[in-house]
Amino acid sequence: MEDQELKNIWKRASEYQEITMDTQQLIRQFKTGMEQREQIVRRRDLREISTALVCIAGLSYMAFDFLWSPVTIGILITIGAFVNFIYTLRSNRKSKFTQRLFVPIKKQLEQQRLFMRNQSKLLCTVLYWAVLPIFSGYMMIVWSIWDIENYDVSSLIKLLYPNDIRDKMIMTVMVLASVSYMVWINKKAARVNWEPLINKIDVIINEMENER
Amino acid sequence: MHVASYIICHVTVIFWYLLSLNKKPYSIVAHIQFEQILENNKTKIFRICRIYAVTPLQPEDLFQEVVYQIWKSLSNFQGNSSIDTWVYRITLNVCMRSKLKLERDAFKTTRFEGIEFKISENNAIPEEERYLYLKQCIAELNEADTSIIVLYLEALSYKEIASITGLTENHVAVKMKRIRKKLFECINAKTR
Repeated sequence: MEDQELKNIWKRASEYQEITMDTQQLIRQFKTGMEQREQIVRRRDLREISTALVCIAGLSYMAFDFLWSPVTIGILITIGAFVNFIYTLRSNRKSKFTQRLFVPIKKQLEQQRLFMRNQSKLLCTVLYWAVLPIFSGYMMIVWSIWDIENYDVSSLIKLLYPNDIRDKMIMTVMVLASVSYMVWINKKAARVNWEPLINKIDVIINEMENER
Repeated sequence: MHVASYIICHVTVIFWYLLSLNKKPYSIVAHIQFEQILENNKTKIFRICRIYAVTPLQPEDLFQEVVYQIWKSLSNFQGNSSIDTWVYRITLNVCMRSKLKLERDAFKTTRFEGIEFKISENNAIPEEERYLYLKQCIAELNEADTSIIVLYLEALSYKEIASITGLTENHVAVKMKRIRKKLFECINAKTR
């Protein structure tokens, strides 16, 4: 078989199926689809920001109540950790470079790999940029006061605050269990979702670069 | 107080204006070109989609995704490469990315009513047996070689293949020699 014969077989294959397109209708559908995708992103942003704002508002209220006590430092650390958490998530959203599909294949693969590595790194290091700051701030709130009844705080806070060693221990163990789960689930997500894909892209790039 | 709010308002307006300068205006010319690009390239896009479609991914789904991405990227077309090269890059990038997404179970698609696929009436014989052999043999190649061979079968020069893949022309030539040998051995074994 000759080269040209192979190319003819290839070209003839498209005669088997006819494609008709109504471009106007297609553009209308694309615009609707794009709006829907953007709306999903907007809703997610709103959800994240409102959750953070509610947490920050609640903590600020507490900070105001506990003004100039050791709890205030814990609250400020926790608020800072929440702000950093939202900032890190938002700044690591899908890279605009991975959307540039008109670049050469090798470059697009490298961009995808970079994005995936960043995502995987983010998940693997969640302990340092999210869990530890929130946990340490929270522990400062829980362990710094032993005489809540002497503070001029609302009755709700007095009711919820773990004042004796038993309550503080229970609270600490519960928080420790949930943050350990958070670390584990994120590491698992990196291992299951991203690492196989990164390896696959590594293989394709190697295949492209190698002469053989 | 009034002066401060006046200054803040002005600074905000100037800031938003400067930000808007960075955005590209929506190209009407690009919009008109879209129809032409699709008409000229639909068969070649579909040919490539048929190679990359693996169950449950249908060639029609891939085709739609490519068309959508072409429409989305059109305002970024700067004429640095030919429109054909640009279309081939998007097609292959979408096909490869979709396969990767499929492995993550993240490929989602909705069928657009604006595209219709039907079996050609002019074609009495369904599909050439030799085409099926060709498809099977391409499936045995690795991802990188597949992208190169489909471009070669599209009758592109090594220079064009290099521009689409991001490799050098020499590299493409060396690879093609090996891929062609492998492909012919496989097809000859099947047709014998």
